[in-house]
Amino acid sequence: MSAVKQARRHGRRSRLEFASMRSPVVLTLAVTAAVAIVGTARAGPFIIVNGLVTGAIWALVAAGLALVFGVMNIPNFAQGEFFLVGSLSGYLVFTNVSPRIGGGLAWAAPIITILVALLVGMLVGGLLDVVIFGQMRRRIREQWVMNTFVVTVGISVVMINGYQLIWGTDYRGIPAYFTAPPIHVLGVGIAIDRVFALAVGAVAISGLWALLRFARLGRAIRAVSQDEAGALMSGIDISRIQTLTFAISSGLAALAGATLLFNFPAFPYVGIKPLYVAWTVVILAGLGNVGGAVVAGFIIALFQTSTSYFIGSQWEDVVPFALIVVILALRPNGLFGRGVRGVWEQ
Amino acid sequence: MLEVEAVDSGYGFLQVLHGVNLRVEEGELVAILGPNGAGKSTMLKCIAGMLRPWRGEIRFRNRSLAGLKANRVSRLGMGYVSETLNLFTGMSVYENLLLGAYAITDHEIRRQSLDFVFDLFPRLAERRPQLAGTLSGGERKMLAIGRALMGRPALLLVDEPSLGLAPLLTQSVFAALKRLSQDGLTILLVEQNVPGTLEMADRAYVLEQGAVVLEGPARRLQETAHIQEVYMGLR
Amino acid sequence: MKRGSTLVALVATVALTLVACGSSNAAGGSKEFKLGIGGPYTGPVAKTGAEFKGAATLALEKVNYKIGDYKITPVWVDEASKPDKASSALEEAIVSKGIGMGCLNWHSSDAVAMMDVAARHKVPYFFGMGATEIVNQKFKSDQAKYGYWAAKGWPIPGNLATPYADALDAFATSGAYTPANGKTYALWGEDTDWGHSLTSALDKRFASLGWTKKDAQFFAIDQTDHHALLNRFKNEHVSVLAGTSTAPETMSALVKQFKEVGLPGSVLVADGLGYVGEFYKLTGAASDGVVDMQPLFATDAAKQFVSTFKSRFGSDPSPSAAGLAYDWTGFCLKVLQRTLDKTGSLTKENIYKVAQDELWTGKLTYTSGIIMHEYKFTQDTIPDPVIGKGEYIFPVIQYSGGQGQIVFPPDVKTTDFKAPA
Repeated sequence: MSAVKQARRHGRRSRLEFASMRSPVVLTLAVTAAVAIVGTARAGPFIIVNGLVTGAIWALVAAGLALVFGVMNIPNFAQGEFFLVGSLSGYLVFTNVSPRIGGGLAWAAPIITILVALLVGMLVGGLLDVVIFGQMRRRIREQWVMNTFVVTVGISVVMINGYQLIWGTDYRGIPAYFTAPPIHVLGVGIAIDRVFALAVGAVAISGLWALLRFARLGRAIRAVSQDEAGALMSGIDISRIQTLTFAISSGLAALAGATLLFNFPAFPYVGIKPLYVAWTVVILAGLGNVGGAVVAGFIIALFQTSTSYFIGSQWEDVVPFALIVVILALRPNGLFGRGVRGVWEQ
Repeated sequence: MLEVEAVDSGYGFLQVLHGVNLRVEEGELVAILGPNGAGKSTMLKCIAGMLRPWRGEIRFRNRSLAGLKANRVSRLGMGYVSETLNLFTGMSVYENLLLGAYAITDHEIRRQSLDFVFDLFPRLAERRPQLAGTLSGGERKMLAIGRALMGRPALLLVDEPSLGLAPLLTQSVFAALKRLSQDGLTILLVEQNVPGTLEMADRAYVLEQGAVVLEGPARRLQETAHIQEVYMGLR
Repeated sequence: MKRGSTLVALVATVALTLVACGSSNAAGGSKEFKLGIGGPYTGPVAKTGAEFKGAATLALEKVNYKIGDYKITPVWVDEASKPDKASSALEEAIVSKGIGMGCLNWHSSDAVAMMDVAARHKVPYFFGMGATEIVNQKFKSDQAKYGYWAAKGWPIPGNLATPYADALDAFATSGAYTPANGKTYALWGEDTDWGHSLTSALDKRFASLGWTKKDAQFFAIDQTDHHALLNRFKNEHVSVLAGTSTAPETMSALVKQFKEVGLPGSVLVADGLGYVGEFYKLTGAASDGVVDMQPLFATDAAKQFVSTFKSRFGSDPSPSAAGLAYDWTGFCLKVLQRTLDKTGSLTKENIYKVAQDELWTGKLTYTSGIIMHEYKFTQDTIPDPVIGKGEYIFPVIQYSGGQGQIVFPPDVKTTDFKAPA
């Protein structure tokens, strides 16, 4: 039950309860803001820049995870491999398209690349859902979360090894999407590729938000996540919505993979790190909370960057983890909450 | 409009319904009465497609519902208000209503339905931007009925509208159903509030232990000894 | 539920089969000798494993899979970049596949775990490239036991890496390079045995030459965001940034971000950038001016190897992975040949005897390699090979357009060091 709900339900008790439920969130956001401001003052604006660029990408991958968990109750441990799908399709498209269009249209190649990667990711994800999770939905009702967890781990192993069988272990990467020299903002060099990544992240996240908020499809996705029986009664084809949800989630990961090709070349194990960070983000935010995942993505990125700068690179993952432990102790359902429940337990 | 023939159903190994027959004609308000655990809600679930019958047949507008999932049944013109309401608690009243009209793509029709629901339940119009999860019990019930109406159903299934409501609220929900019925909507109602329901209904079935034990026009049932003894505490 | 479990089981089975694929092979022939060949065939540096496998295959093909009347069958021992997997893979190769000797390995941490297995089964293992002191310490702690890890394929980084400091100090002294911020350096590296071992060796050497250390930073092996680290070094005004990582994506990201962040006048020493042949495809022009220490494919035989490797396996070999793996496998085969000539049968006892009597004493050396002139061990150096001119040596190189040119030591240099702008 969310804090707001509690507060409105029990008007008189609300003040106290509101404060006790909300304070870790407010505290975390305040600490984050403080870190951003102090960090920037002491180390320069790169702290914010880096937090934003990295955060946007973690947000993309994590939002997909959160979406699939929220709507389908699947803890997806194959999300990293959709990142790989994106890296590979990005590499194949860009290295083929880029030499063919030159001159004034050169800027279009990266855009075509990431759009194709998005589509390929959605296609692979959608197909996988129809072939595997669609079948499981029809047959398995017990232990759904555990079963799908095992299956996604299996999918991950199969995809990694399948990739290695077909494409081998070579690093398929590019030096950069854009050859122009880095721009300088307040003395910080920022490669055009990273500006591009930030823009892609911003557009994709806004797009996702608009889709979920205003579109008929997005409303149906939220409906399925909130009450499957209610969605069925309203004439919504749940299975179709779930396939689309999985496709969107995979597409987002693939989009992130293609966008970051300049930093993460395609190779069999490229997805492991993004998967690991994305799960961290999702656990911090609260499983299944898409908006929370976006915010948490930025928080984690900012903490990683400032930890790395002020304390040392080897502590980069330690400090965000400590933060998570503290937050989970105070709010077991994550910063922005939402309890874990099985699909069929409604 | 609706024919249920010799339906058996249940959950897992537990059989709840034993050869239930019932029918609803166009424009009727029919009630299913009975004690707790008699299988009333199970019957509605079967009709709405949320539960598969083990045997027997259900026909709606002369079409067999065998093998159809609930979303397809809903699109055939069956509105279903379940016992637990199944509202989208994290969405606004307005969004819940819009989702009720998910299958209707015509904006104009959707707007008309919305006006109709707001006219029927002015409280919902006041609560339009509020999250469904923050509504009171009565408002939730209105929203669930409103959401079902948004799909322009030919038949409305309502499971226990009086459940958990104060008498005053029950009355206003019943009044709304009565008005819908008078406007020509066919309604199949499950209730434990026997006196109120029989006042309003055209016909009724009494379900006990998963089988129909009594059926007939509501007026006549009011008079029967069984009803008076068991359900009205008279005599 | 039942059918669901079947599905899960099916997926799991397919997955396991795919994983297992790497280590299957067929038996045959009357007298067969099974040679274990280690490498990171799966896991984060599987690319290096692929180079190992390709190079070892070419070396085996060169002798037609035959030593005398023995048919040599390779058994691929996948260390998977994880010590526990490495030791269980070796255990399995010895116990169920029956290898009589092992050859090659990549990570130091895996080597430490594999040493125990080799010692327990008394199977000699040669030329593991896990290089750090820990391997040497373990070897020397109980040579009767750990002598089965008979010889390393890569010396302690400290003994090998000092030329970086020598080179930069020499450039600064001769005026070829004026350090932007005086004789200052910062160290960086992956947070592993390897990273710490190499940087601490560099640290000692730089310090002994009178340079000042400003900072030292270590990061996770798969880190690809080095902006914080580089900005930190930038704000500390460092002239030389020296460090290492064995993961190509990590390394190429650092090299590119070094250019992006912009540290004018600073030199980047990126030890190991050339570990994968195709690094230039990842870094592009960002690798220009970067200093590394890599053996080069210099001889005609080496160039022949490169073109064969490319046409057979479709990727660029690197001198330090594929090149050395090729030579060391060749040396392994020579050890087998010598054992057969001397004793008439390839038992693990005979092989180990030859290692003790001839390899450790410098009698048995290998001079038909494509990277080094001679691979040699002596009682003083074991388990490391002899380092020095004419023996095992890595020149200091500087990249330009993806090609390394030797800039140090002066007697073998092919071009002058180019100071950064």
